[in-house]
Amino acid sequence: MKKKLVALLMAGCMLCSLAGTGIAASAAEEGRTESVTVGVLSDPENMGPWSGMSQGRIAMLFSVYEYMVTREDGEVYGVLAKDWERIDSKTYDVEIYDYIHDADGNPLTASDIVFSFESAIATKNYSKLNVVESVEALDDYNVEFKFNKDLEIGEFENVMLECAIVTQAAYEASEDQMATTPVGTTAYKVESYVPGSELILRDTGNYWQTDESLVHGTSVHNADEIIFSVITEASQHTVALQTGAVDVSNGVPDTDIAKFEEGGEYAEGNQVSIVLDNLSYDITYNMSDSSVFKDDLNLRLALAYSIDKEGLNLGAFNGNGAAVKDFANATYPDYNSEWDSEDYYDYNVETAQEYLAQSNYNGETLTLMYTNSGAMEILAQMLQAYFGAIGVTVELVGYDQMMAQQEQYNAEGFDILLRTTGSTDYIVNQWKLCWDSRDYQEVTGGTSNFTQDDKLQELMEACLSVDTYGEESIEAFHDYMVENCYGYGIVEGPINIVHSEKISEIALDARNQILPGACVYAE
Amino acid sequence: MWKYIIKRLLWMIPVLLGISIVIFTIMYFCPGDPATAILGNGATPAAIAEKRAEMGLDEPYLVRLGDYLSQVFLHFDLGTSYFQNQSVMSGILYRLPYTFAIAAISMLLQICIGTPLGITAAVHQNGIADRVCMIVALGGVSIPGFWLAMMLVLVFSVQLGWLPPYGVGGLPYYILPCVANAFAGIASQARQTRSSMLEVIRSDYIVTARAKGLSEREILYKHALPNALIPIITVIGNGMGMMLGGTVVIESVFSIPGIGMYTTQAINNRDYPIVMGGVLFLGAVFSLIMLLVDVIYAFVDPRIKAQYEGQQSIFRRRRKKNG
Repeated sequence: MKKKLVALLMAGCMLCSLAGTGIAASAAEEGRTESVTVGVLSDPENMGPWSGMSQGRIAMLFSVYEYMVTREDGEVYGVLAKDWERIDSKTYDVEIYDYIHDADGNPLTASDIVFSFESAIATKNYSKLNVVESVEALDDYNVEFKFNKDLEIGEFENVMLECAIVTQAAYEASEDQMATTPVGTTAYKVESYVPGSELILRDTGNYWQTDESLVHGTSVHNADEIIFSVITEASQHTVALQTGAVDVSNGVPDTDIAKFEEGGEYAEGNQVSIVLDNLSYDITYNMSDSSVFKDDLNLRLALAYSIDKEGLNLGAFNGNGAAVKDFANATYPDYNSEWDSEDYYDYNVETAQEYLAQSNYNGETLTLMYTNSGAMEILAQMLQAYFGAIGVTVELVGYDQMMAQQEQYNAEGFDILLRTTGSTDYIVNQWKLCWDSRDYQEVTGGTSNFTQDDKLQELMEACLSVDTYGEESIEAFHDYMVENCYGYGIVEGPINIVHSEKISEIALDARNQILPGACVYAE
Repeated sequence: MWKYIIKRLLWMIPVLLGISIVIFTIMYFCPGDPATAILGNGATPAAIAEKRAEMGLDEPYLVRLGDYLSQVFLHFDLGTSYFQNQSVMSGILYRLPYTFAIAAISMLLQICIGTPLGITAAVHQNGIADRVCMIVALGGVSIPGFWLAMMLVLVFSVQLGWLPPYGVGGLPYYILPCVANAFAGIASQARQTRSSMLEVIRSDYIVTARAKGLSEREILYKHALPNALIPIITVIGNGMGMMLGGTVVIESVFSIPGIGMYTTQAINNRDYPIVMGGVLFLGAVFSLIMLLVDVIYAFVDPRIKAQYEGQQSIFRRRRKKNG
């Protein structure tokens, strides 16, 4: 009896050790990790697939939900969409994979795509979906999208990237419209969620896309467990990394970044990855009828030439950002690298003073409006100093983000606007955010900064039209903007991601948010 | 006594109505637009206008105020969050335990440390103990809560590694936030206790007690302290109210998902229902605490109880007289 007992115990031990080896082997799989903790500044608040966008929500979105397509390095790849075809300027047919299922195992078909898009459109939370006229299932795996206008460049992809896709079965089974228990088609499912504190996702081990060659960045799942730890105070991100409570964070204050860089006091075991943000800091002049800039190109140019963009980069971003030669940098696929060597209001005090002497400026105080947060504050103060150096007096008016967004359409509210713009696809769509008067006509009578210029609009539309989009139209718009100086980009900031050495390669989505599942791990 | 309590509870209705109107008006005129926040930076003015209309934000002030008041006071509904699409009341109730835990533990620290400190200072007036206590109290009043919080994190979490720097969990997670939150309260409590005790221990009946040969301990705790309690209770009551509403900074520094953080995040997002609901809820809690303080006065001081009951009998006599 004793022998049998000992044999049983030994067999048990062997099984346990074998199982243990198995687990260890799986965890040690190249580039993978058992668990990664990401420090985020805000709570997701509502993880439902189509709720309003917030900072905390953006951080976890791609870890839970998949979209029809994804965008990597300027290229568009299908995720749920296997193929798509432009039937005419207002109609597209999309074929989805026939073996998709969500994290709960519910199969996903064309009717779920229709359900997801119709639900998202009904919320009116996604302005990019306003162009969708109808979504119809042609059969189980083919969907027809009809649009209410001729689609412009990048617009179809943006529609495909705007709507999180879920199965109707999972959505209807959820008691809170997936606000706390989202079920998407990624490899991850929520294991626990403490609102305002912690979100834990776990790999179900049952991801639908088994063909590795078709798994793109947003769908990669290198971590068995992802913990999003909500840390609202930026300086606590420094403490969390220092104490090893989190593995990666993009919330560390700029002033603490040097501590994690080589030679810094917390450098041991940590690294800093710096990427250029796709948001650029821009200057736009108030071009309304009552503005001093309206008919004064010389004053616009004087201010433009007075700005030392490299100085702004050093002062606000420790030199980790970049001066820009348009409204963006070379990360956009349609950015013309020849712009890098051209004169884009390159800092020249003498030229600035010459233009100022020819302008109608009479020493009046101009107002510079900005959002009073982060680097914007430093940039505004530096701009005030640069303008002051050539003899232009500028008063700073800082607002919180919400108020600044509202005040930018008030013609009497400012003379110069410092703001950020950015696009996740093409440079022309970044231009559109300010210079397409069709979007702002009713409020400003022109572009977002009150510019009324038919030629500019014609060039803008040429850039946006699928038929005329190309090097020629892009160059024409760029040159016209440089010539007329209604506004210009000045600098792009860096995104500082501090992470432990456990992560050997950081992965980011199109919005430059950390994709913990897609990072490569050294463990 | 019960009639007094009921009367005070009824008085809360106009108070809460006033709070609702004031906070609604502030939020109405507050610049910034929740529709813009929901749609993001790239949204066109047309899309924003459409969203505003859908959310009812384009209605005139009086219509929206009327809707809000009827929703709160007739249907007892604080509304639904714009972002979370969740009932504000359930959001508050979910977060209340965190805020209440911090407030209650901080209050306990304030009473248990501040009161003895004040008594010690009063008993040893102008002595070393008094000066030490008052220097500590001065520090407590002067040091900003967020600075103290970060210093505590640096020492006890980063350097010593004894306590977690942020987050929620068991008791250890509450130690640093509660100490940081209670420090100013301890100081106020000590200063108020000292001042009340000094007033009382100079009274004739304390001299009489001493002349009767009672021990100092008996004089202090049986005769002096009960008579010095009224202002101390006032400080405790105010402190509890302030701590419930004032944990915003502490919750942000320590990432505690309480009502303060809930409301702060809502202010940034212009999530009006949460801001208005949060303020109204804290207003109601504060009113209840003030009522509780008044009731405790009656138990501590028989003269106040007699006064409350006297008011009732005056009302009774007037009613009889009138009719």
